[in-house]
Amino acid sequence: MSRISLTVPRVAGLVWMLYAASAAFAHHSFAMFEMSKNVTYKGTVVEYHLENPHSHIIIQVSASEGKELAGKWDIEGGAVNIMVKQGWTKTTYKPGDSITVVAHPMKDGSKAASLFYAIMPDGKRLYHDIARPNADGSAPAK
Amino acid sequence: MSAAPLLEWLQNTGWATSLKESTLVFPLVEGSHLLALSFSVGMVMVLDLRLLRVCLRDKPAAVVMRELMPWSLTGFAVMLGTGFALFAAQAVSAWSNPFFRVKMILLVLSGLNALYYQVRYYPRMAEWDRGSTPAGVRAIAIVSLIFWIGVIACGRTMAYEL
Repeated sequence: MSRISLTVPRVAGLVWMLYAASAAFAHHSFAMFEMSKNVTYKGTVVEYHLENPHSHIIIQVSASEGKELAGKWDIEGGAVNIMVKQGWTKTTYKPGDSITVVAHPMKDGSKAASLFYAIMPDGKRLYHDIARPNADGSAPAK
Repeated sequence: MSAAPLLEWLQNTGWATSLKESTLVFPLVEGSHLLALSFSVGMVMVLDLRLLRVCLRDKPAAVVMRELMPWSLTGFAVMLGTGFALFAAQAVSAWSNPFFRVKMILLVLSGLNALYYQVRYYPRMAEWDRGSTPAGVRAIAIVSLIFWIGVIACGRTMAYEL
């Protein structure tokens, strides 16, 4: 009896430690992005996926934009439900369209970034939900 | 990977594409998967804790098992169905996700663990239920708890890798 009552907390503790360890090295939703850094990517849409669990816009940035920006970037957005509330639709972009987005690049330097907003041809911004500013124009809640 | 064409076919079926592009159904399926998990795994964990004599000690394990397993199996059916739908919507990236693979391995091991219990100890429950729980049964209960916590941890973690 007492052996079991000791075993259970020990096993629970071990499992909890394993879980905490696995959570620590896993990519967390926004932890892998440099959220304080805003980079403007101007290029051409290669792929536009408004889909779950995350939307993706693949953008080709030409060499004329500079060595650091040139290449194919994976701009990651939110789930369909979140994006649609911001005004995104299935037809917002199609391959071949020119596009300008502001996004937070990956910390590890790989060619992907978390969408902040896209600048539409008429100058209007389409936000990724968590980046939506408050009604008074102040910075969004984290 | 030879599974690639099959995964792509699954992901591009009409219903999987609709799910992937849906505004409401996808979050509902996700939510149902988690709700079903609470029934399926929750009941199994209560039974495991009973086998370890941590809770419900005044009830025979056989009674606890008989009361809880229908809830658990119903939850498991919903969990399996919703889980397959979520997998289909992102089959290619899910398949390449290491946490998904570990989760599937742990699921199979959980099944084998439960099967071993059914074959080895369940038929003789009437004999040992009143006395002391066999060490093998306690081991199965501990293994079950670890595997299921592992399944949930992997399921949660893989969502951050997709």
